[in-house]
Amino acid sequence: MNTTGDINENEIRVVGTESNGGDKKPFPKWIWAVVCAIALLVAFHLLYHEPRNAEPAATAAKTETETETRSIWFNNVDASMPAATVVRDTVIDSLHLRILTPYNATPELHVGKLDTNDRDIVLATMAADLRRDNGKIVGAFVLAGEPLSWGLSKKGYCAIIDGQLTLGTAENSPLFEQATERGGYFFRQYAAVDGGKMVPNNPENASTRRALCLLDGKVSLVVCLDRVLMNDFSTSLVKLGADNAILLVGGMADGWYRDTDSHATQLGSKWTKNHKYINYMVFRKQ
Amino acid sequence: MQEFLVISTSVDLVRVASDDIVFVSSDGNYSSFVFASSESRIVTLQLGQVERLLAKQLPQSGSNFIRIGKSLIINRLYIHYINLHKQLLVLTAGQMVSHTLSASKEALRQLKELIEKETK
Repeated sequence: MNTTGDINENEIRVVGTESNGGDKKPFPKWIWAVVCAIALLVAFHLLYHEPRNAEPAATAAKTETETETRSIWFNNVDASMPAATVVRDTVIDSLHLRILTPYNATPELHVGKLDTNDRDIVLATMAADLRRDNGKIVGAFVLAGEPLSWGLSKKGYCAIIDGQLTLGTAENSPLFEQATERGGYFFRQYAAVDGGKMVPNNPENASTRRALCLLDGKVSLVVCLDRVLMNDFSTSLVKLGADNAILLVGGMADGWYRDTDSHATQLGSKWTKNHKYINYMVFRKQ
Repeated sequence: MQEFLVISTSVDLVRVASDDIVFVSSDGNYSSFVFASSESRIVTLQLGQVERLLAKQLPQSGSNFIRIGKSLIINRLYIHYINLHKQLLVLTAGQMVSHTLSASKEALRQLKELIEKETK
């Protein structure tokens, strides 16, 4: 049984049994000196070799050279039905997947608390992760042309420009810059599927998971109702036929959808806090 | 005496009796508390931070909680069933509500041994 520090998936620990460290030998002073020297060198390097302006993602996008795989969705339009989410359930590799496809709705991002009584919302689900230290958004994020966050944390991205939703995988994407120039939206998340191939991620804990996918030419939110490892979920998305997919906030993250009977169904737990940077992917009635 | 866990942020505060917490699961930067009433609440804390809060604020009942791997903290009061082959852990709160969780075989083996050892 583990009694100190980090824990791996094969260990358990009774809470409160962690050692207070009293019997541990402290690091020798020379190790601290070496660490400080390295930190100073790194700081010096960053100070004099990195651009000082706070627009790294946009600048980097201009020098983008690597091939970028993207899937573009134009519109999930079907004039024979109302603006609503169509629900399909399937099982792949013993995983129960719920496929939520919004029709006749426009995608956008929303930051802040979302009005659960807004009947124009066809589908809403939490989008980008928040940093635990300062509560801000992880990775680049553009809201209606306004960049709220910069930097690369995850290679997957979703861009919405002129109503057109794009899912892709790239370290730098010119779509970040385009979103800022054309009043669009952009956010980063873990890539799950890129060009029909599974994108491996560092193994994490098992959890119920969600992904935004391009499936059969339409964008859909796929929810895994079982607790599953990230890579197993990504594999199931490939078998489902996803061309491109990025993971969204999973677990008990807030969200809901409105079906063809205009009945709203909650995903996860309702978010009651008024967190400044809580953000949603929203499909709103056209 | 009943102990309470208090999680406070700049805008709100959650106070819950320790015995009402069935388990806490992690999803990256978030942790989801599931209560005996079947209600749940997400907090923007990592599971390690939750573990430290439990240890700090619950000097008596904190040891009821067991961290299992990277993603789970369970309240041992609610353990009902462990199956190593199926990697199942079932927590039961009352007669009607049960939560089926999964963990690695090795972690479940250690949990089973711990419970057996403590009941001898």
